Amino acid sequence: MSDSTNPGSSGFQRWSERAMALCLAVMAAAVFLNVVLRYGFGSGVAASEELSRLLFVWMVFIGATAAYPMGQHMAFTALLTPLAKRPVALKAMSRLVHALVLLSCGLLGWGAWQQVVIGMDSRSVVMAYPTALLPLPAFLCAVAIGAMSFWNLLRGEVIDLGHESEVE
Amino acid sequence: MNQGLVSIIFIVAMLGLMGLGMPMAFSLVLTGAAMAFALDFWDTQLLAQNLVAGVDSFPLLAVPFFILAGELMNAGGISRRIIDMARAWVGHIRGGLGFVTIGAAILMASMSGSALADTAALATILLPMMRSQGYPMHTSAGLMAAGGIIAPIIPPSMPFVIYGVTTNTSISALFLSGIVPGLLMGVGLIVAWRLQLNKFTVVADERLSIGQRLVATGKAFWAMLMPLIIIGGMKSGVFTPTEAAVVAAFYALVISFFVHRELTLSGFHDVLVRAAKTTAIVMFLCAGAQVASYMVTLADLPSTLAAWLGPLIDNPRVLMAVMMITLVLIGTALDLTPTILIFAPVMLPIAVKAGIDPVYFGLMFVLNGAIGLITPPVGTVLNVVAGVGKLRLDEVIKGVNPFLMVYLFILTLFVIFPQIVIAPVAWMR
Amino acid sequence: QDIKPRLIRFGYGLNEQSNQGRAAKVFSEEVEKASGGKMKVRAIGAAALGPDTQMQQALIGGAQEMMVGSTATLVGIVKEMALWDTPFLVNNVKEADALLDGPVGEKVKAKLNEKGLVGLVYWENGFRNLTNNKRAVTKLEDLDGVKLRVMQNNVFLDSFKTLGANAVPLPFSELFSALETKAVDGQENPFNTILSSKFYEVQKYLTVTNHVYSPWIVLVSKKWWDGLSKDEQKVLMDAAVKSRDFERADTRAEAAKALGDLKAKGMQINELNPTEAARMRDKLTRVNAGIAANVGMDLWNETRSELEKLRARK
Ligand code: NA
Ligand code: NA
Repeated sequence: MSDSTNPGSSGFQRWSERAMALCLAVMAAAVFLNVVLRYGFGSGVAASEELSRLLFVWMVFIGATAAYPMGQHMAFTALLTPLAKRPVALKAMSRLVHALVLLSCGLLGWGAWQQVVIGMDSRSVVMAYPTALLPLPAFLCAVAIGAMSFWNLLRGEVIDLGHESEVE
Repeated sequence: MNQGLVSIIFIVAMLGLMGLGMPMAFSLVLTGAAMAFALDFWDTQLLAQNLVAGVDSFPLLAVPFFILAGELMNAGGISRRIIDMARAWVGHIRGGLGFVTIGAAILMASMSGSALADTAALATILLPMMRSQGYPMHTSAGLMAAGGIIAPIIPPSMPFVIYGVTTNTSISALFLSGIVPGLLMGVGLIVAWRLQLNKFTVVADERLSIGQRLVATGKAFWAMLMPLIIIGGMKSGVFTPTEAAVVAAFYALVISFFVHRELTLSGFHDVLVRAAKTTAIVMFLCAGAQVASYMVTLADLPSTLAAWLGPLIDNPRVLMAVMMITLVLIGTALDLTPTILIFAPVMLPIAVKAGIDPVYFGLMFVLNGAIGLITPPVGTVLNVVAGVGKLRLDEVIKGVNPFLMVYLFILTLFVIFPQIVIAPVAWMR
Repeated sequence: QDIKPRLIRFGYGLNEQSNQGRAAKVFSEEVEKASGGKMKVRAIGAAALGPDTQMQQALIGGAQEMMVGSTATLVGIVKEMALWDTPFLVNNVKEADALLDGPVGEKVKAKLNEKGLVGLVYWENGFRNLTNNKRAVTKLEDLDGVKLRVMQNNVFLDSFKTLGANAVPLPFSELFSALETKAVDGQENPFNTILSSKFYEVQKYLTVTNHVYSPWIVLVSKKWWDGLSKDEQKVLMDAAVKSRDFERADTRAEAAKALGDLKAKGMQINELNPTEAARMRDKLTRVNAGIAANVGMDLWNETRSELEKLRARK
């Protein structure tokens, strides 16, 4: 499964797969439970929606982090194809892209961190979990992807041109 | 703050950053950041908040659940049984496997919401059969691709969910709006396939007795209940669209585990992982798009664009035609999900200003974007078929052309006669 | 006067044509007038700045200056806000105004300060009332077996369960279609919401229960507020008070009109009589005890005695 070049990432890939599968299974169970309770018993669990949304956010950011080193994020690389035969130019363009990704991760990470700090002091309406749990995965994801893009920037890693988005 | 300037920043930053080959989610974040600066709304907290807000939505949960249902259908033998049933009924007529493809595509579309999952299942099972019976591979592959994009039109549909959430349009109404156009797409494919048949020399299946056909139908019985449960459950109020998705996934799970007995626990784990990964990639894009669309809303870009469009606003049909042509061009290069996330919030308010029905517009938008999945140069569904069938991309492109023409014809028809879409929705609601 | 040029981004959830939007406009005009045009309010509606909870966090972080929103969504930040969720707390708008603008309301507002927010005034969302498709609710027992959508909030869930309804939590975004397809039998909201969300199209009976009075609260980012001069703070406070007086009168007029419109749209409307309201209130003792424990006994007792004083006065 893992064809990543980053050392030690296969452990993360395995862990992330387990975590994502667990998130998805619990989300599905929580929403399904409310359907059954409402239809069958005319009742429901108030926490179901809040819990499934929280897990959804975690699942997405864990998955987005795991997908980054595999080059699985949707990107429009058609304009770069002519550069395939000009390695120097392609390398320069790749460095620019890595730098821009690093910049976005820096902005997102800093913003998310401030929200994490604020969120320690407030709680969600139904389950009363600390609100910090919402921006936290975004912060971790920004830090991780930022670190990877910084590494790629230093090494001048060439971006993958063959990749097409895999989902619809 | 100058709205025209902000509009220009939006367009230039977005196209420029995407053109560099940067992952789209991050291009959209930086676009949002640039607009925030211009709008005097700069704060990194807003960028991060909206990144999370783009995912933190209950209706969007339908996306992973529908993807999960689709994956379970393929892993638990549901898709295969449907194809077997279609083959038992029409496999023996001339060009039969083509009609099998179309029939199976429509049936599977009424259970799954993702074009890629459906196309992959169709191509994996049917392309080898068509090859061995001597069908021309490029036309067959083109038919798979064209059949696969019926999935997002006939409910349930993942793109309708994303469109509904992005533009605040009723997801149930969008679902209903897709039924008739989806069936018309099937009819169009039948005609296009029939017209090309004379050129083929192929072997047909043996004609099966009614008894054998009924056996194949019986095996697909549990699978065939799925669309009834989804649509029936939503219409009769047992559950909402989001819940319909989770019910579909549970139903597929039960059938795969206990009835077909084709799914193991470790297989189930793999299905969960695949569905979660696919979801994460789609939703991360939603997250990035929310950062940009927050600023688009603040800058009230649709009003600026509507002002630029001027007299077109008074002529809805011409406006519709112009927007559809624009979308076809966008669709050549951009995938369906980013097209929805980026352009729907900008275009819909303009359409509404011109008096165009929002549900009709949603259907047209998603239909157009789905067609974009099979137009070169960037056509994700084409890639799937080429990958599964081990074919060259240009062969698939050549083969899909006749079907593409049919779809564009249908699209034009809907622009000229919107009632074909609107009337059945009004009747069904 | 010590007033600097300021841009104030003021977010709210409903659209520009709503009572919220009209009052936001009044606030913005008052601020501009009183500051000689130096302080400018950019009121941004339709939740374009995000839902209440998102705006609250933006205010705390100083990324946005002001907002107005529901007190119920603040409970996670200031638990005392749960006081306003108490069913049958006040009997009429007069009591509501006196309680919110009096010492109890001030005390609850003051709790916001240690959490990075400043509360200026309470606006009115309105009394919540019950609609359903099964029967006209004339007595407590009529709630039996009614599948009722409530907000995803344990107080509401417990309250209606205690009253005998089958209370089911559901997001507002899914409510209309749930009512349309009869996934649920009923819901409860202020008249204005029932009208603007077109619930009359899918609901037959409307019972005037006035079971909960929902306030809105005008909030300021404390980070930003602390950097303002005394004069600037006064401009905002005065404008907020004016907007409050306008908003309450406007909302009440709109609610009265909405009730008439709902009748004209064919809803069957009845009023819950005081005896039955009292029976429901008695049934909710346990729920009230829970709220009292949550918001603190001191605050709870002060609220009770304040209300007794108000009721004795007339
Ligand atoms: Na579908
Ligand atoms: Na395309």
